[in-house]
Parts: sequence; C-alpha cells; structure tokens
Amino acid sequence: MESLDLPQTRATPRVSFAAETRTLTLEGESYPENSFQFFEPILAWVDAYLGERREAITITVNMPYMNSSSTKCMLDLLDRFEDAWRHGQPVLMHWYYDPDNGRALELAEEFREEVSFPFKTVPARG
Amino acid sequence: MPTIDLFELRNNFARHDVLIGFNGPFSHGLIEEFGVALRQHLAQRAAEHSAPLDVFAVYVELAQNVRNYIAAKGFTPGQPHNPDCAIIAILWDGERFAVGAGNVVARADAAGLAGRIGELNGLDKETLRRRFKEQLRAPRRAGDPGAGLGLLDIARRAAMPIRLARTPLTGEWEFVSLLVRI
Repeated sequence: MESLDLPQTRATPRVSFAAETRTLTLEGESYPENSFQFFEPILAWVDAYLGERREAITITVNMPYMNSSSTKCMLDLLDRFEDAWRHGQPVLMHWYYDPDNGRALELAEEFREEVSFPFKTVPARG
Repeated sequence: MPTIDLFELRNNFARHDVLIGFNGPFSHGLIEEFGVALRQHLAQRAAEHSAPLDVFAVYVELAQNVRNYIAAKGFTPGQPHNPDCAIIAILWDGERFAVGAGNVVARADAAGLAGRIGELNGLDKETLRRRFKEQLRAPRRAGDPGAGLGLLDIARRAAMPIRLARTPLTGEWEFVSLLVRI
C-alpha cells in the first residue's frame, strides 16, 4: 500500500494517512483551481485502501474553509467510507469546526446527514 | 493625448470604500493572493462584520466562476472588449461588505444567468439549503471543473438579493456584473 502524504498549501489541505493509528487526516483550507483534479488521487488512494483493508479507520477533518466544488469532493470521499461502513468496516469521523463561525457547524451537519457511520463534531477555535 | 487620471480613479475607489479592486486578466495565483489581502483587510475590520469567512467565500466562488467561464470559452488576450479580463471589487457599502465581479459573457449565457439569479433571489434560506444538498448529489458534468454549486453557495451566504447588471457590447456579447452583499 502506498503512503499518502500531501503537504498543505494555501488553497489545498494537508492530506495524510498515519498507518499506526489508521487515521486519515485532512487539514487546511480547500479552494484549488480544480477541486476534482486535486481530490482524484486521494479518492483513488482511499479506494485502494478500502479494497484491501477491513480494519477500523478514523477520519479527521479540520478544514476551516472549502469552496463549493471541494464540498462535492468531500461528499465523494464520505460516500466511500459510508460504503465500507455498510459492508461492516468500523469507520469513525472526527470533524473539527470553528464555533465562532455559525456556518461551520451547519456544514458539518449537512455532511453528517449524508452518512450513517459515527460522525463526531468537535469545536476547535482556529 | 488623453491619459488616465489615476487620482480620479483612486478617488472613485475611495468613494465606494473599495478594499480591493482589480481589472485585467487573472490567474488562480492572483485569486489566492487577493484572497490573502482580503482576509487581512477583513481581520482589521472585524468589528464591522461578524462573518468574514462568508465574504471570502463569496469572493472565491465569484472569482472562480469567472475564471472557469473565461477558460471554458477559450478567451485570449487582444480580442475585442477584452473577454479574457475580469473586474473584481470588494467594497464596503456603508452597511455591509459587497463583492462584485464582472466580465464579458455571451448573450445566451447572460440570459440564462439572469434567470438563475432571479430564481435564487426568490428562494428562502431553507429552500436554498435543500437545493444545495440536491445539487451536491447531482452527477458531475463531464469536463466541468465546477460542481454547479457556486451560485447556490453564494445565495446562501448573501444577506440581500444578488444584483445582476447587463450591458450590451455587441449583438453577441454583453458585460455582466454580479454584486453580492454579505
């Protein structure tokens, strides 16, 4: 399994996977020129990982801002984990949001409505 | 020989309390740079506005929409009316921040956009939320870098109806601008 470790840039989040804790982390803002192009290798990595590993996996998201097309990509990502969850793989989401930004929790809840795996929203001031 | 009066241009910006104004061909790098500058301005004026991230978000969606449109149409420098250029302005209108974006748009596209904006302006926030979620689930259009969510996202963050202005340039082209108050 190839490792996943994309550095954070101004318009793209850090995306990394820690094998020892089986935690996928997305951290930082996302408004690249082409969100689909940016997320494509991440989705491919997740597909490959979920295709061969059935152990519990944790996802940590701390993204203070994402543009609308990144929102779509995030849903594509969550759909992969939802599918794994429905096939019996333990999945846990920790979603960090800024409590000073009313829309941040709203966005988290909109994603939570789309999945059935445990999805914890955690307040974290940026 | 007529020449530009930069002092007058500056006064015009000052009169409208323009934080950032840009006119010209622009790249994604510039969108990011202006975004950084915009956030610094907003941080300095935090007392006046409770949702600086909404202002930034509307700016990003408008700027990326314009940029995607210019790229999709294949506009290049030197064409009549400079369709490869856009104008972006972020200003304080006395009560709210406003983000404006204007560029050259084909007449049929302008009419479509006007219809879409008129429709979005008539929807309440709950309906906009539902539409956003429906569009989030809609299949992607092949080759389109957008997800069809930008205008919905803008409408959800707007505090007032989105203003659209159309100025005919030729039989085929118009200058279209959107002004969003947040």
